[in-house]
Amino acid sequence: MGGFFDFKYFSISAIICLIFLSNGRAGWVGDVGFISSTATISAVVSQVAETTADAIESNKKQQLAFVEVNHNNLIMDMARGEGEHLSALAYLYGCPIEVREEYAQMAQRNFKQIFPSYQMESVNILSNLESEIVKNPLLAKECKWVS
Amino acid sequence: MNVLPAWFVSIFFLCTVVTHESQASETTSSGRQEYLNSLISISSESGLANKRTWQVLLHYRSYQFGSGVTSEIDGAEFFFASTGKTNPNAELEATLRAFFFNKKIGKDKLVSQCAFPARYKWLNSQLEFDTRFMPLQKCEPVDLWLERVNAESVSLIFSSYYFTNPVSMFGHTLLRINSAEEARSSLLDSAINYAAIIDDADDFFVYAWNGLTGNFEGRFSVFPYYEIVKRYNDLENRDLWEYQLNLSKKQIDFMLLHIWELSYAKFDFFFMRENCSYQLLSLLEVADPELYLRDQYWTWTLPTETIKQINNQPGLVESIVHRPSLGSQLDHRLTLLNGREKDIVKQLIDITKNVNPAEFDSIIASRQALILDAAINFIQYEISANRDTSKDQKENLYSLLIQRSQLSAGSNFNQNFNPKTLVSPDLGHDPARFEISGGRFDRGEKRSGFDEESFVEFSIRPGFHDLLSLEDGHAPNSQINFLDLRARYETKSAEWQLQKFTLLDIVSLYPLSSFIKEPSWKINIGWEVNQDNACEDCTPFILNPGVGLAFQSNFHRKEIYFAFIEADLELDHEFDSDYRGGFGATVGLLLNASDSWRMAVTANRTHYTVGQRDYVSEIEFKNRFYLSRNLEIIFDLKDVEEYREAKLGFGYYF
Repeated sequence: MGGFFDFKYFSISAIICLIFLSNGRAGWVGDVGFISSTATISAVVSQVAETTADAIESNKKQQLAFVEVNHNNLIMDMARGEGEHLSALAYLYGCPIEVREEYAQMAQRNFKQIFPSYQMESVNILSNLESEIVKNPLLAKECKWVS
Repeated sequence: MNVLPAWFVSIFFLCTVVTHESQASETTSSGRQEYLNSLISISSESGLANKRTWQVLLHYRSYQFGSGVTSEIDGAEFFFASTGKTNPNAELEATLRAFFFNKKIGKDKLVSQCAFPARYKWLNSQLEFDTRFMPLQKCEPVDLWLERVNAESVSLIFSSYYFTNPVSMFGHTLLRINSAEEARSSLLDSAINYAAIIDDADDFFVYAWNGLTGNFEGRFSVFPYYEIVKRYNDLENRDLWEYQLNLSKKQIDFMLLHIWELSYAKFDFFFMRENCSYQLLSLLEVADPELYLRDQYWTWTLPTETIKQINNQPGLVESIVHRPSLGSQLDHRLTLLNGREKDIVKQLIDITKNVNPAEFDSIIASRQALILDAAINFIQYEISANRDTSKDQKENLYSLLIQRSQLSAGSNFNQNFNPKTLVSPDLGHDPARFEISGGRFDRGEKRSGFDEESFVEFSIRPGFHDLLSLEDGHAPNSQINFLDLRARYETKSAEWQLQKFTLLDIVSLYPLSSFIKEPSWKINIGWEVNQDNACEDCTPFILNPGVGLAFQSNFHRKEIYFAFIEADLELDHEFDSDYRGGFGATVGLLLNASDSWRMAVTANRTHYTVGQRDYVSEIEFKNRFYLSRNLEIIFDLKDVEEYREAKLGFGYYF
């Protein structure tokens, strides 16, 4: 049993554990630190209040935010002509469920026009997508948040 | 439930205040004051502050050692009374006064009815406020909040274990408010997350200390669910499990009103108990005050335990949906491919190789789609993990995406998604474990069989999972043990001996495949009795990290072969120079002999090159026979230099 409760060894182990648990700052943050000032409940509501007056502007902001975060999933979905992220973007364009398949096929057919390169600014992806929606008579008519 | 009907309040009020006065005189200032006094009096007499709903709205909790209750909310802004944190009666009275006098709250200067709409709603349901004296305030921001969320149902989300980060090894939970709008994707729903606010300037010691001592400030926040999916599914490669709860629209709206109130709440964040999972339980208690969820947690709150607890509430979980991570999607896609198709995927993802166009064109379109999807999935997985972000690989990915866009065929990805290996986390074994076993050992150069001495051994650990535990609902091929205490009574010497006290023992085996190549790793920190005669009856402190490789075969069921290169440092006064240190290697085999029998064979050789120098060899053969999810029979054999041991016993998870 010699040394089991030795303070020196306890200190060493405590320090090692702390270093391991900390794992550098980025490592420690993990599920603990996932918050930003724009994510508080009142901030979210403030954003809504600001944009509700202009519904089209509000949808544009939501579309942009969605594409910013979901570039990789969207490019995959558009190439495949199906997928949850593509469907969510269709909702943000106000496309009803009945035309979602047409919307997805349009995105796949015009993949190169929407994504002329892999890395693109979100605003350009949206602009290209919107150009293709407008060219499609059905989608242009049904998707209500296309400017 | 309305416990104080309007007629009762009216009679009380009329008897005590304004029996013969006109309505105009009722609303005079003295009449208003009398009305407020009557509300306070009635609420006090009827014990409203002790009602369950008031207790959960204020996050009160009683403790075994001490009288009364204490709120788990720590910021003063949440309470109207200066003693509100510990005095429910005072807080209720102060709340009535605040509502009555339209006290303004917070930097937005919201009137108190709008800042605390759940409290108002409940108190109004109990006291039926007379709007002549306490006019109902229009709360536009609250209405906007409810309108934006547009709730129909709620899902409790469990994000699976994340071995890259110690904080996330036990998983994470959050809530998703599911929209009533059918056309809307759940990706666009709102997620309610509880987290600590981190100061980027703090160093890692501050992080560790603050997390353990409650010095972080915890807050609830709202995110679009797609941000959660991006972070956990894609960047951290963690599966998500979505437990849709059977709560009524009325209960959900009440919970949402309370979440609004929590804008004014500040918590002390404790990594161990008052963490994300614990605080989410408090929200569900508000939705349904008949749920008593937090009471069972005194020391720590494991996310998996809260999931099991919710799942065990009769009728509470309606459905469970699995949302696979990028890595799980890739695994599944690869299982759908044959050998030739996998070879083509390898060529597609290797920028130095070209696929034979004639060979690819000879494959039917739906299989081409599957091959291309697997290749795209792989490259995206590598990019998300920052393993290959080269320009060439991104150009390769782009050309594959263009190729894929020219195929209209689907790839039937969702067909039979891992049906045999998908076990939701609520079905895993319980976290703590107790073991009782007995056996014989001999020590010394003369080996005469296992007849030298018998022992009885007891072991207890609060968590969590070891390599031989049943894998259902847990991260496969992994081990996380902490605070494992093992003591032995030796019959011949009639002495108790501490065998082991583990601070942390983690093993993470990543079987290599043609596609995924991640190293395996391990670390063991704690005290363990020495069995190689390097010191007599000593229990050195051990630090034993290692890195290695693992492979998987499926000849029988599942076999994992692994090898580690390890460092080993042991500290004890009994050693020459008080320590010994060196390097070693471990090889092993972990296999499922049957659905209820798991076994492992390991061999280790360590060369101690500093301090007390020596060579030590060790071989172990371990078996677990599972009688149920939480009960196992143990049979282990061990050989360490001149020491041999055989052990038989029971292990029980609880």
